[in-house]
Amino acid sequence: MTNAIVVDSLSFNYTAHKNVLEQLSLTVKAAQTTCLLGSNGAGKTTLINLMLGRLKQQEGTISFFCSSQGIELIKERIGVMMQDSSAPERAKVIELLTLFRSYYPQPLELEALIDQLQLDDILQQRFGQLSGGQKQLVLLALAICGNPDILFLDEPSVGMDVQARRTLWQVIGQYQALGKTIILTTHYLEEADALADRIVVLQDGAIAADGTPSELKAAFSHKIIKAKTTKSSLWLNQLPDVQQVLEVGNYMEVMSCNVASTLKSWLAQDSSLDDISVNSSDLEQAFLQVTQPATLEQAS
Amino acid sequence: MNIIISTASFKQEFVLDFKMACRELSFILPTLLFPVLFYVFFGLLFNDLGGAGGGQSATYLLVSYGVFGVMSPALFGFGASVAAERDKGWLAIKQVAPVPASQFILAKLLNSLLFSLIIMVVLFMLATVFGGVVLTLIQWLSLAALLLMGSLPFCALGLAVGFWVKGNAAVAILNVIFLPSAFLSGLAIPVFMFPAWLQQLAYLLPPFHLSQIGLKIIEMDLGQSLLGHVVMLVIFSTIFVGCAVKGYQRMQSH
Repeated sequence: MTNAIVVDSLSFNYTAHKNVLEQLSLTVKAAQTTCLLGSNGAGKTTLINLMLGRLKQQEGTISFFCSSQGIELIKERIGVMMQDSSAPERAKVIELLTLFRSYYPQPLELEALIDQLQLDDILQQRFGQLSGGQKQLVLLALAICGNPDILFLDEPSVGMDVQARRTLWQVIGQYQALGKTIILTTHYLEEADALADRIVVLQDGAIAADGTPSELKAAFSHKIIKAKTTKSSLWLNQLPDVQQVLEVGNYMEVMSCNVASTLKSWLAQDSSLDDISVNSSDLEQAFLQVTQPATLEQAS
Repeated sequence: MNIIISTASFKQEFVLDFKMACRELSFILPTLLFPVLFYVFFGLLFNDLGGAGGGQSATYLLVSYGVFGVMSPALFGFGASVAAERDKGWLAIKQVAPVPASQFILAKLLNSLLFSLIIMVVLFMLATVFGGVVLTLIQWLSLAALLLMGSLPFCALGLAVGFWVKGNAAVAILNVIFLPSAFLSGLAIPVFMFPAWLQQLAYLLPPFHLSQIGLKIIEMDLGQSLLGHVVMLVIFSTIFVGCAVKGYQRMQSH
């Protein structure tokens, strides 16, 4: 499998004393959907802006398609849907599509584009009159209208309603089937789980975890014991095989890699224990576990 | 890198920009109507009342409101619209698309010139038909060429403000620059009627120099050297272009 993007030892800072990205290396395989996950400030958007050449790289290299080609030379081969961006309100949807198609040497057929994104009804409407979800779909149309080999989608489903999101997922599915490379960032773990071939978790400018969704889930395949108790999270933390403790409302959620031993010890020492349930951890909990241990320790 | 992608693509860019400007009433009405209304009121109606002046003010104010008329599309149609597009992230989308910045900036520039041309043609027609203004063909053409060229420093100024300041604030700042500098340059009341200290101030304003060159064409200027006015306009343009380029670079790294 060829490499679409190779990022090597990339460091970046906005101010001199703190690096946003810290010696980050990442190889994005062609024909895969790679999802960047991370809490706000983890460096996702900075990484994408560096890849797109919107920020000047300070240390390290980024190359596309196994060559030293910079982004300027391959702009015709990428499509981008950016966070917090929109088109001029007074432009009609059809005018925007026509303009953007003229930027590319081999654009998608207009009919196909309209059909794929279900834009028929809004073609003659001005961008300013559209709903949030419709706007996002138009911006997605602008991103794919050049038939790009690499598609960057930075938080594409923000502001989308269920219908628009379904269309987005369909388009991503069709793109995957065509063997295109997709780089996706999202807040929705469900989306990452459903769409990505690979999930890269960023934390404090470095890669905290990297694998397929099922690998990530397996790596954190702990059980969650949820129960009411008067014991503190500090106390619960020192029970055998406990990975992490979360306080959720009246309940404590204890993540354990050995439910039997944890529960046995807990029951023996805690007479206030009540209303116990045990669940498998889902991707969201795996994600929280990777990205938040530092804050939890401080809190407890 | 090419200046434009292709003629067809550039045409799309230019036409869409023109349509969007026409759909924005808060731009189109003041830009087209104000210079024309002011000229009709002060240049034509007052001219008739004065009687003895015999077409003097209709001729003089044609240059004044010509300058006033080309400033507005340059500052607002060009500069402020760049600022608005930057705010909404539209500029960012174009920056990552395979379109050189020169294509959409040139399209906007030509649109600004087109609006200037429309305003000028209307003013010239009013002047000839209702103001009894008589100029030689050379004078008409020189005046038209001067006003179009003369709008370029204001385009640069509009762009500089557009790149440095956020959308709505840019419009506010441009308004603060536009009206006072127009009045203080003697576009509404001729500079020779100003007190001496205020006349000094006019030398520091680009519209003053542009209108003086225009008045030189119709032999109604203050009699200062042409070279001096040109040099001042070149200096202002250089400063504005420099600020615009710096602003664009700053914007790219933020």
